[in-house]
Amino acid sequence: MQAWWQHFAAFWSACAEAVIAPLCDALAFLVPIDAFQEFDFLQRALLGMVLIAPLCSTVGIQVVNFRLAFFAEAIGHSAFTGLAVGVLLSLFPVFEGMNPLPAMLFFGVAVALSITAYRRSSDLSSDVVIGVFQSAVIALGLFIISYLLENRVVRAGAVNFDTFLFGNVVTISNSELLALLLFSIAAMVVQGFAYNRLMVIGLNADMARTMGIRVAIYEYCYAALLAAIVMFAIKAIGVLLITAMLVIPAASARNFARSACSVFWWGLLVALSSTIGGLIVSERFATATGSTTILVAVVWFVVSNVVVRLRNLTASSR
Amino acid sequence: MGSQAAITLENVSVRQQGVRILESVTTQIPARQVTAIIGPNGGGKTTLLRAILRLIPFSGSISFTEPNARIGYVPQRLEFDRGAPITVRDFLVMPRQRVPLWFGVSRQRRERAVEFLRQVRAEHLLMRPLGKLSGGELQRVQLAQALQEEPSIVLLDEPVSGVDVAGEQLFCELLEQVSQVRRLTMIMVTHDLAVVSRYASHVICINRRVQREGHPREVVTADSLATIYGATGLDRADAATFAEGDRR
Repeated sequence: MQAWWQHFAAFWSACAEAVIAPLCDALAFLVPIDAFQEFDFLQRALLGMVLIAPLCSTVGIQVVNFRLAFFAEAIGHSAFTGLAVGVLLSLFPVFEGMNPLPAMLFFGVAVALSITAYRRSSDLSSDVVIGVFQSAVIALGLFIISYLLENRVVRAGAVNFDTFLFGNVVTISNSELLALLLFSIAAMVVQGFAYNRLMVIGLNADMARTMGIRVAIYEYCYAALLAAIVMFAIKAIGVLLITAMLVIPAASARNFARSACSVFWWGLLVALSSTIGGLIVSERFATATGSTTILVAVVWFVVSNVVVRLRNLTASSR
Repeated sequence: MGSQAAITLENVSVRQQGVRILESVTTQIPARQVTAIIGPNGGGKTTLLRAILRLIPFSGSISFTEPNARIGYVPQRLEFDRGAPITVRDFLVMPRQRVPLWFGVSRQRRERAVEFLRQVRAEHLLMRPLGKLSGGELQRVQLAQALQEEPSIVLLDEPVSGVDVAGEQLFCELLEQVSQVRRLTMIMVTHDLAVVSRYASHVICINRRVQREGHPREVVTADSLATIYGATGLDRADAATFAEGDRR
C-alpha cells in the first residue's frame, strides 16, 4: 500500500510536468544556444537559476545591510544535518524513497527560528549564539551520518554528498522546480510586504517598535524566509558557496547603487546574469555550475569596486 | 510643577538580570516643555526612556494624560552599513510607504519628506546617502523622521552626543523652535549640561532613583551635581562652571 505522501508525490509530479515543461520551453527560446534547445535538463537548470537569482539577491541585500552573513552561513550548514535527518527518515518504510528537500527545509527553518528565539532572549552576542548553534547542528549531522555509515545502516554512496556540497542544478527535477516556483512567488509577496519594514528594523529595532512595527514577528518571518531560500538554493549552488550567492550580488549592488530602489534592481541584474552566465559557461567548459556562477558574480563585484573607486576619485577632485 | 503633566510615573522599577536599574521612580513630565533627564553613567537614564516607550518590562505605572498619545523617538544611533545605498529620502519614506522601495517613491511621499526636512532645515539632504551625513545632520534627519509621526511627545536619547559644537547649537535651536511651534512635550536624555542649562525647562536627575527635579536654575546647583556625579567622576569645577553659567 502506498503511503499518503507517495500519492501526493505522484499528484505533484503530474502538476509539475504540466506547469514546468512549457516554462522551460519558453525560457530556452530566449537562450539561443544549441545545447539549451536540445537538452531538457539544461532547460530545467536554466529555469531553476532564473528562479533562485531574485530570491538570493533580495534576501541578500538585507543580509549585507544588516551583517547577517554568519547567520546565513549557519543556516547553510544546517542543511547538512537536514539531509542526514532526511536519510534517517527514509529508513522508515513510510518515508522510503522520499526526497530529502522537505526534511532539509523543515530542519533549516527550525534552526533559523531557534537561533532567532535564543538571540532575542539571551544577552550573549549574536556571533556567539550563531557559532554555538552552527557547531551543535553540524556535530549532530556528522553523528547521524557516521552512525548510519559505520553501522552499515545505509550503504556508502547511498547519499550523494557531492551534489549537496557543490550543488548540481542540472539534476533538478520538474517536481523540485514546481516547489521552487511556488515558493518564489510566495517569498516575493512576503518581501513585497515586509521589505520596507525590515529595513526600518535593521536600522533601529526600538525606533521600529515605537512606529508600531511588530519587530518580533518580522524577525521570525525573515529568519524562516532566509532559511527556506538557502535550502532551495543549495541544490543549485551547494553548501560551500551558498553564502557567496547571497552576499556577492548584494555587495556588488551596494557598490553600484545610489538608493534603496536601485540597489534592488542592481542586485537582480547581477544575480540573474551570474546564474545564467554561470550556467552557460559551466555547460561550455564542463565545470561545476555553482562555483562558475559565483566566479561570474565575483567579476561583477570587482567591476563594482572599480566603479566605487572612480566615483570616489571624481568626488574628491571636485 | 506649574504646568499640567503629560506623563505620570509612579513607583517605576526596572530590574534586569537581577540588577536593579531603576527603583521606585515617581515623577511627572510636564506637558509642552523640554524635560532633560540627566545623571551619571549607569544611573538609568536611557532605561527610564525605554520604560516610557514600553520597550522593556517594568513594575509600577506610567500613564499618559492624553489618551493614545502619539510618540516620536530619536534613538542615540542607527545600526547600519555606512556605505549602504540608503538615501535620506528612503529613510523618511520606508516606514510609511506600503509599496516596497524597489518600485520607487511616490510623489506624495517625496513631498511629505521634503516638508519635514524643511522643518529641521535639512531639505538639501534629501538625496544624500544616510551613511555620509555628519552627526548633526543625522540627528536632524532623525528628528524629521520622528516628527513625521505627528507626535505630541518626542523622546530623544543623547541627541547631541558625537555632534560638533555648531551642529549641537543648530539642533538645540531646532528642538526649541519645534517644541514651541508644535507645542510638543520633549524628553531628552543628555550628558551635556550646557544644553540642559540653555534649552531645558525641567530637569530630572536620575541615579537609580529620582535625586532632584525641577527647573534647572533651582535644582541643578554645583553642590547637587557634585553629589549626583561626584562618585562617578564629574569634576566639581565642571559642576560649578555649569551652575555659574546657568545663573548668568
